[in-house]
Amino acid sequence: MLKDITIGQYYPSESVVHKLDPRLKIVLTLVYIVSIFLIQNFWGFLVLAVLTLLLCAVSKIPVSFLLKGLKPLLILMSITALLNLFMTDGRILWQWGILKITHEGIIMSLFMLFRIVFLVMGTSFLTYTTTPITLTSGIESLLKPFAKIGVPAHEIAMMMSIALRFIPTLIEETDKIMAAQKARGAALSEGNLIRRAKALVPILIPLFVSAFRRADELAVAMESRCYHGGDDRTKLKELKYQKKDTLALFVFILAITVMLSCNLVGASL
Amino acid sequence: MMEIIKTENLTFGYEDSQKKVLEQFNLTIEKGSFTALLGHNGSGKSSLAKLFNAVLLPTGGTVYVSGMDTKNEALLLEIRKNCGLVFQNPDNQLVASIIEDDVAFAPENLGVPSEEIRKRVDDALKCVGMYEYRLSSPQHLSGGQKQRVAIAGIVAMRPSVIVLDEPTAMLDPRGRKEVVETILRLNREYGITAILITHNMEEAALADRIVVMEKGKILLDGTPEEIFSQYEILKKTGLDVPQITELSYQLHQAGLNIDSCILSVDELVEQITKVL
Amino acid sequence: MNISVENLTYIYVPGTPFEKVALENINFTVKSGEFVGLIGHSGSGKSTLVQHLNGLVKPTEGTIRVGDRIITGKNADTKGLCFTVGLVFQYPEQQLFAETIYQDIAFGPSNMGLSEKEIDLRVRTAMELVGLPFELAEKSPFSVSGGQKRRVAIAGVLAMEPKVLILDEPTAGLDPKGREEILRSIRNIHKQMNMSVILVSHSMEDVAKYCDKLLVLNEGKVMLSGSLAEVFHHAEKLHKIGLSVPQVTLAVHKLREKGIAIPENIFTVSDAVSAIMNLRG
Repeated sequence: MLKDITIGQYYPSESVVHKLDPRLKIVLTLVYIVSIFLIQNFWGFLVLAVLTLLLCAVSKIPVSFLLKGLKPLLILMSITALLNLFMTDGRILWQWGILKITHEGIIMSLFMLFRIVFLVMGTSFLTYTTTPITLTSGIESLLKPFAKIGVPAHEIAMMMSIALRFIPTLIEETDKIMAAQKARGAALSEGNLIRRAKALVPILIPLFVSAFRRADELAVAMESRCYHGGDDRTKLKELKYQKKDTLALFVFILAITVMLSCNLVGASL
Repeated sequence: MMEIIKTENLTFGYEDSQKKVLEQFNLTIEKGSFTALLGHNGSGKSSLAKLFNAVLLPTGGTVYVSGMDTKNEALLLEIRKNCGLVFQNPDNQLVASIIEDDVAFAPENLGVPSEEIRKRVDDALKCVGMYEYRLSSPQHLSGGQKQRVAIAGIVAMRPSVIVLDEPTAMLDPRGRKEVVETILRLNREYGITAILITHNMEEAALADRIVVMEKGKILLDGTPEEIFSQYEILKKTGLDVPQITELSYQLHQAGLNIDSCILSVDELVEQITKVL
Repeated sequence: MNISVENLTYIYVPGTPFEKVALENINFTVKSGEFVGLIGHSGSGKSTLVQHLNGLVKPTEGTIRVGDRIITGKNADTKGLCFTVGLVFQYPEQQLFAETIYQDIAFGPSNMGLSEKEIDLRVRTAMELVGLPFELAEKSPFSVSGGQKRRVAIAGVLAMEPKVLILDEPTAGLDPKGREEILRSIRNIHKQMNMSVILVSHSMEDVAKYCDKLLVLNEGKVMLSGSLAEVFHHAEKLHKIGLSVPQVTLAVHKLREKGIAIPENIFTVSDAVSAIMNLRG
C-alpha cells in the first residue's frame, strides 16, 4: 500500500552522517549521481557495493531498510532490464522470432540494473540521514546566491517543506475517501480504462476540495504566526560547516577515486 | 484591571455578502482573564478571533490589542505576536515535519536569534508537556498531542493573549482534557490571557467569564453561574448547559429547594443531601 | 438483521516493522433492531472494527456473520455487503463530490444498479428522513451549510436502504443544536426503518440518551459490554481509561454513597428528576 514506501523518508539516528552539513550532502549526492554513470565495469560496482555497506554501518541505517526502498521500483527496474536484454544488438546467444538475447544485451541490462539500484540506494542516504527541514534549509542556502538573478530560494524551500509535511496527511486522506466511496458501492478496480477513470472522480474531487481547504487554513495559520516571507527570518538550526564536514568531503573524494580507478583496472584486465 | 483587547463599535462583513457578521460589537477583555466565547455556528465567533490578530480587518469600528489599533500596518507583527491564534484542526496549522521545527516557526519569522529560539522552543514544549516528543513527527501524534504542539507554537511567540477557536472540537475526551488542562495552566501559571471559543459547556464552565454571541451581537455576558442560570435563553438560541446544571434547574423547577444553577456534581450532591 | 462477531483479531500490516495488533479477540452481537453505542478513544480500534462489519477490512482471524451470511474466511460472501450494512464515516461531508445534492445521494443507489424511478424514490425518501427539504436537491452540495452537508452525506448512505446503519461520530464538530438535530433524526430513522443502528460516539450523555446497549473498546479490546446499567455500573473502570459516566449518573452514584436510597440505574436528566422528587414522597 501507499504507506509502505520508504523512499524519501527520514530514518532517525544519531550517526555522524546525520550530523553532516546538508549542503555538503546535497552536493556530494549530485557528484555521486554523475559518477555512477562513469563506471564502466563490474569492479566499479563491486567497490560501490562495499562502500554502500560501509555507509550503512556508519550512518546506522539497516541494509533491509535500504533494500525496502527499492520495492516500489521493481516494475521500473524489470522493464528497463528486459528492454536492454532484448533490444541490444550484438553477439546472439539465443533467438526466438524477433526476440533475441545477446552477450552485449546481458551485460547492458545488468549495468542498467546496477545503475538504478545504486542510484536509488545512494541518493536515499540523503533523505534517510537528513530531516526534511534540514534538507530544505540546505537547498535554500545553496540557492541563495541565485536569488540575485530572481531565483525564489526561500519560497522554493518553504514549498518543499510544506509538501513534505502534508504528503503523509494527504495519503491518509486518500485512503479514507477511497474507503468511504467503497462503502457506497463504488467499484474502483472494475471495468475498462474509461470506466476506471470515471470511477476516480468521486475520489479526486473530495481530495481536491480537502487539499484546498487545508491550504486555506494553513495559510491563515502561518500568517497569524507572523509569517511574512523570507526577509529577516532567522533559523532554529543555523547551518554551520564544521571540521567533520571537511573530513567527510575527503573520505568521499577518496571513495570516488577508488571507484573510478576500477575503470582502469578493468581496462587493463 | 488592565484591558488587553478592546473592540469599539466593531463591524465586519465579508466582501461577497451583504450580511454583517458582526455589528456594533463592543467587548473588552481584561488582562490575565479566561473568557469562554459561546454561540452556535455562524454567530461570528471565528471571524472575531481572526479580527483579534489582524488576519481580518474591521470594515467599521476598531480593534485594539494591547492598545495597538489592528488597522495599523506598521504594527502588524507586533499585534500578531501579542495575540496568538490556535485553530480547530491541528493538522492544518502545523507547518513542519518535526515538532521542534514547527514550534520554532513563529520565532523564526520574528527574527529571534538562534540560541534564543532554542530556549523558547524548549520552554514552550515543556510548558505544554510535549518536550519528550520534540524530535517526533505530527503524523505519529494523537489529536490532543498535535493540538498541544500547536499551542506551544503560539507560546513560543511569548504572547500576552491566546485565542483558541474550538481547539477541542475534533478531539476525543482524553485529548480534550489534555488541551483544556494546558489552557488552564497557561492562564493560571503563566498569566496568559485566554479566550476559548467552544461548543462544549463543561469547558466553558471552567472560565472566569462567558460571553454568548448571537447574530454578531453579544447576547449574554457574565460569570458561568450567571450565564447558565439563563437556561431558557440558552436553549432558545440552540445552546446547551452542562448536564448537571440542567438537572439542578429541573429539580429547582419541580420545587426542590436547591439553587437553579449548579455547575459541579459535588455541589449538587451536597445541596440535595441537605434538603432531603 | 443480526450481526455476530466471534474471536475477531486484526493485525495491521503484519510482518513489517509497523506491525500492530489493532483489534484483539473481539466478541459481540447486535440483534435486529437494536441501537448500540460503541465507545472508546481515538486509536482504540472503533473505526477499524466498524469497517470490518461492511467488508471493507478483512480480519486476520475470527468470524463475522451478518444475517445468514458469513462475511469472513475463504468463502466470504461480501458481494453487495456495503448496501446491507451502511457505513457513515467520520466527517462524511468530506466525501461529497457530485454536482448536485441529488446526484450525490443517488451515487449509492446507482451503484446498486437500480432503475431511475427507484433511485428517484430513494433519494426523496432519504432526504426526508434526514430533514432536508427537496428544494435543495438541485443545489451543489458544496454550497449548503456545514450541518446540511453532513445530512446530505448521511442521506447518501440511507438511500441504499441498509438493514444495519453504522455512524462513526456523526455529531463531531457540530454545535449543540446541530448535534441534537442529527441524533434525533437518527432515532427517527431507527424507529421508522426498523434498522439496527451502531453509533460510534465520545459522548456518554448522548449514548445514554439514545442507545439500548453499549460496547466499550480500549486498546483494541472489549473492555465492557452490555446494557447501559451494566456498563455504567463500572464508573471507576471507565474513569481509569479517561472516559466517564454521564454527569447525572455520577451524581446518583455519589448520592448512593452518602446513603441516600436512590435507584442506581439513572442515565438521563428526566429520570433523575423523577427519582429524586420521588424520594421526597
